[in-house]
Amino acid sequence: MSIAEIGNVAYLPPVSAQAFEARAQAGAPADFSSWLTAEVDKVNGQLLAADKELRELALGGTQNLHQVMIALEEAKLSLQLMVQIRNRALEAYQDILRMQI
Amino acid sequence: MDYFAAFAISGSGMATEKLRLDVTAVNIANANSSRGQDGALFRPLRVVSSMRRDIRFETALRAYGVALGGVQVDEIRPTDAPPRALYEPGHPDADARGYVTLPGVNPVAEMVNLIVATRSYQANVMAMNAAKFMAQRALEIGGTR
Amino acid sequence: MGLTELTGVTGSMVKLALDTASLRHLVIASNIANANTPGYVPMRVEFEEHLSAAARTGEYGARLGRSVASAVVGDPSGFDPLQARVQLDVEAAQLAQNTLQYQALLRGLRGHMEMLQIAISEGRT
Repeated sequence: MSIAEIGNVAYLPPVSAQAFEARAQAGAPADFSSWLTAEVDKVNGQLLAADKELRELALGGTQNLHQVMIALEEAKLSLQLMVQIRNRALEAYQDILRMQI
Repeated sequence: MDYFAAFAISGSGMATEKLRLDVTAVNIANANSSRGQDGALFRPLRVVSSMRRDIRFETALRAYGVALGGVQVDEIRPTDAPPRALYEPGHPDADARGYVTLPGVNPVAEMVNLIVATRSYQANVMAMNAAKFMAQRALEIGGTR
Repeated sequence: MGLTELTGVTGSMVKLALDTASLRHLVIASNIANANTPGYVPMRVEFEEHLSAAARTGEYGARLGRSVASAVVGDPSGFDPLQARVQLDVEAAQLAQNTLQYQALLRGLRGHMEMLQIAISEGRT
């Protein structure tokens, strides 16, 4: 995102109660696995975007240095969280397997 | 932090003020030159500058309807300051009445220009250092690895 | 809140403020570089007024048009003749304030992300 796009606050997520409800109803996932798949795709998109910004930095210098750094850091956090979710899900699965019937 | 743009702006400012300084030095040095190049008397020079519209800043700021950019030197123009006459009959360049025509360089004005150019140069250096500092801080997002 | 929106509204606001501080630096640098350019009128960036207006209504998602951060040219009408000329000491003060603001935003964002990091890794490094 270059400096030219500061003009719009619209990309900030809505904070008011009605806006939250509207968002929750609009995008309510059916179950955990479909939610997780969607999130994995989003994290992947975020990683790709961060990668693209890094390439832009390498090629010609970016118009927005802090944006590149923040994108990299956020992508890292999202990936870490996703890995943790994967670990917990695996642990839960293994716990269930070990259960004596 | 668009450090490229920031360095370009401040760099252009530094270059222009440095040129102003040099031109002022030329004026002061030639204040007592009774003989100029090609016979014409030396005329004090002035640096004429205008805002530089760089293509980089155009794309970033077209949305705001304001042009932003550094500074560029249009020309170094000789001024029409009236020459001064010095009474010195023994001088090789004295005219029939004994007066020598010298360039109309006002030493006070030139000293003021010198100080202004120096201060402006320092201010541009300060701006460039600030940009460098901010960019370095931005690199530290994510902590020390 | 999905995995890609960890920094949330705070992160978005900080990014917006960082972009504005960057723009503000370019404007100050341009003012300083053109301090001795005849006819140049110094510029300012107006931002915080617009953002606090958005904060009061509570709807950050509302569109404020293109004027959230605007680079405004000083008043050349002549009512305040000092405004129509670049004054280096004013620019220096603006520069110091803006630089500190940028640094503070970065430091705050870093702290915010470190907290998220701790939460994600459950305190284990």
